[in-house]
Amino acid sequence: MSKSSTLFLPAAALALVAGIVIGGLVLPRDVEVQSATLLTPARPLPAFELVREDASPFTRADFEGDWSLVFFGFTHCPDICPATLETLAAVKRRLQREGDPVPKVLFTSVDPERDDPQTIADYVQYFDPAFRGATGTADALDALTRELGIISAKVWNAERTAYTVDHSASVLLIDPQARLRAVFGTPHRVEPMARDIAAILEGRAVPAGPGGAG
Amino acid sequence: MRALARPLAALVGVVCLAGCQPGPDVAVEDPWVRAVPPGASATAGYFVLVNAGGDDLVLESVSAGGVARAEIHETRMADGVMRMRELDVVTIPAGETLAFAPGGLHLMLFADPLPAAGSAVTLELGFADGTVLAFEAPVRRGTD
Repeated sequence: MSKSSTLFLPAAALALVAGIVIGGLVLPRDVEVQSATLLTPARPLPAFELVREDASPFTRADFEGDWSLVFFGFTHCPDICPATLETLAAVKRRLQREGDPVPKVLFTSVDPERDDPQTIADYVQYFDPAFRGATGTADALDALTRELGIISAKVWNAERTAYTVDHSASVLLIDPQARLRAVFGTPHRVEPMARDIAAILEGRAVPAGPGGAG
Repeated sequence: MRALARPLAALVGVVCLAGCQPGPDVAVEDPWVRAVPPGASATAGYFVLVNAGGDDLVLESVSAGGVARAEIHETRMADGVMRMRELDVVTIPAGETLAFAPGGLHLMLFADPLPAAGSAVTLELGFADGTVLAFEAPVRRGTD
């Protein structure tokens, strides 16, 4: 084997690897987000003061440094709230399996009358031990929800013996600068949510085109 | 998973209690009750009702074994807001199938404590024509 060919082969291999790496970085760069509305620019959260599930204070600064998924609900909710938390637990498992970055998950109760911090702790950790919860006074909740477009309203049954809480069912994605980055509307499905969250956290997300799919 | 669940669900026995006219016109498929965290006071029961008969069926009463109270509820989404309301009756039109499923119609079950995952709850549905369907619904976590 001549000297030039012994040099040529490693050089060709290197070029091939470089091509794959560069192509890999460039080609799959953009992912059209289908399951969420992206906020561009991200909208800073207002100042708020809630209580965590371990009774410690929870403020805007606690969102800094990590991505977070936030869902508002109440523990007496039999249908949508457990279904959404199960979906978020499945999204988290999927992201972990794929080796993608995983946001924190925060369940915020909009029913502080019935949901004390301990109740919220028991509730959220059933779905995933790492899930966290929060609540606060009506005024404290309002300071946060008003700015996020989240609404909730107590509705009594006909006999006025029990109430339910109508509430926005969107899942919000908060970025590590404590800004609202994306809103996931219903219905929440594991696969598209996980794909879009991975793309957003990796900076590869673009809004879906006018045609929607594609 | 779904493809597998259907035939399995069809094997779930439907028991006709005393006083009803047994008939093949209404069947229940894929019943289950959502397992919820300890301390939760409410959960939901789901199933698919198949009305194979020539008459509309009106579901007007519900109960569940070991559960303090059962009600027919419906979750509706309007502009991204979840609203849940109790319904007095639900009509299953002749020849149609009606699904009680997450995010829509469901039985709201109140109890403390609620049945644990792995157990089963006997759900009983009473129709306006006197038919009563009683069946076992396994308690499990929801799946996507």
